[in-house]
Amino acid sequence: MAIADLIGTTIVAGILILMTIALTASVSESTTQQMLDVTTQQALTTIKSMIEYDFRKMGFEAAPGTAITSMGTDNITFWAGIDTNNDNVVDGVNTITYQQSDTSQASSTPNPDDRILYRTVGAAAPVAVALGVTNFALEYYDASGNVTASPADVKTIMVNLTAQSTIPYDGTYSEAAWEKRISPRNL
Amino acid sequence: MGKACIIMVLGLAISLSFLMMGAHERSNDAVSNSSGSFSMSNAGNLAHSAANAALYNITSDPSWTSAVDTRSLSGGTCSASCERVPASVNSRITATGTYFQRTHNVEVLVQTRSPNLRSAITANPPVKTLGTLTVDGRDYDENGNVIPGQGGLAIECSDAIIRGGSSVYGGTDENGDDFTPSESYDASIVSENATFDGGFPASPDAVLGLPEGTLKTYAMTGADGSQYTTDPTTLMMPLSGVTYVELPDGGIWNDGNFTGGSKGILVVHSPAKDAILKNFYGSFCGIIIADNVDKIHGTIIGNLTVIGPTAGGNCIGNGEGKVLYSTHFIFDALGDLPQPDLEILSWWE
Repeated sequence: MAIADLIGTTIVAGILILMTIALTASVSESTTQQMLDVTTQQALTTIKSMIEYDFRKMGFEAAPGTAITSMGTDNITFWAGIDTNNDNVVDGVNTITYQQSDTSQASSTPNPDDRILYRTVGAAAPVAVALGVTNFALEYYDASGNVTASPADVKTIMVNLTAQSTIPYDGTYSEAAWEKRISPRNL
Repeated sequence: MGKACIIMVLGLAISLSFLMMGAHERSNDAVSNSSGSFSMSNAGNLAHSAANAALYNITSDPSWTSAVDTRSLSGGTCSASCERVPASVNSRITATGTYFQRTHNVEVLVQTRSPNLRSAITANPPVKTLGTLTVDGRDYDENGNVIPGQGGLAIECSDAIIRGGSSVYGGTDENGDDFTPSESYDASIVSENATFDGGFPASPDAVLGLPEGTLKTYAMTGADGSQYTTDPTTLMMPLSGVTYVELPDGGIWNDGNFTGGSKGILVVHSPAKDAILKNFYGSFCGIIIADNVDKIHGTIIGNLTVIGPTAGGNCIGNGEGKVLYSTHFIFDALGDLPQPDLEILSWWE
């Protein structure tokens, strides 16, 4: 009887231990995946906030039609009001450039598709605002909502932004995407 | 054996709890990111709503400088206020939207009237003042009281400004600092050799940014007491609406006496832009646009604009006259005229 109890107890305990180990492993995997997702999402919201902040100031105190000095599908340079000390008061007008690098510049990361998004203010050196951007695409629309290639006619800019984790988990990269049409009021 | 199993299960359960807690925190972070972004967008939308409400008010009434009271909207709050920008013709709207501890601010600069109306005297030819003439760019209300911090310049002239005798200048500078009229006036309240966008306005209509012929046509309709004449002695006092006095080249309107609360817009003009309003007496509230002005003895509250290419007399005033800036009477004078669309000069957020 005592031996039978011992065997039964051992089996039940073994099952419990195996279940707990499996559950722990599952939660651990899920937590890691979630952490990568959140990190990617945080990177995306940070870039999104920066783009919205800058794009809203596009054309501040610029003559009509002169706000955007150059534009492409993955880059743009424009005049904007600059608040250098975060007091919500404009401290001057300068050019801002957003430029996406090619994938070779982010070759130090395991992700083969990620790039670096550079932000340049005036004549200062470009600053890498984000690593992990896999797509930064811009499309330009005029006042009638038609796609335009003329900087002077741009009234709305469609921004497509996708970010991925720089490292994979279980062979896959976390991904977050954002898309918005921004109509700067000063254009 | 049993004890060991219990300890092992308990240990695993504790580590599982920590893992679950970590997962819960990650989940909270994700939700926090999303909700923060959503709240920022909503705060921005609310601020835009308040700014647009203020813009609507200014469109309806360019003189509007009040507030859009704090109101609840879509789960958040928004408000806006509007103030005149000193030494300019602009108003500044400041709007705020708040949504779940996220705040977004918007500042809109709107041009509310012709840029030529930012001073007591706007002139193309040189301005010479003598006697005890007072030129004050501080903003006077309808009761003759100064509204602090929102006035304009004393004189803005595309040529020289020559102060002589005991004439005094006052005004408000770009920082909103008011200066009482003084012989040793502050240089910031006059603009000498000023440049005007597109050059100095070439006609009375251009001064107000109106299509050519608008003022004359309006005067001829008789609306709101408007009058059109080529003989100023036939004018009925008090003046109101648009009074358009069209003189022959070199014509002089001498000893005009404005009585009984004359107001509105007064134009004294000739085809060659050399008509002269001379020896002006009495009081006029509103905008006077003349080719030339020689010796103001009365009081003008609003704005005086002189458009002639050369000075038509000895001096603009050598007696006890006064030219006082008043946005109230400028807006009042412009009231019934078709106004150009308001221009949003800048939108900061």
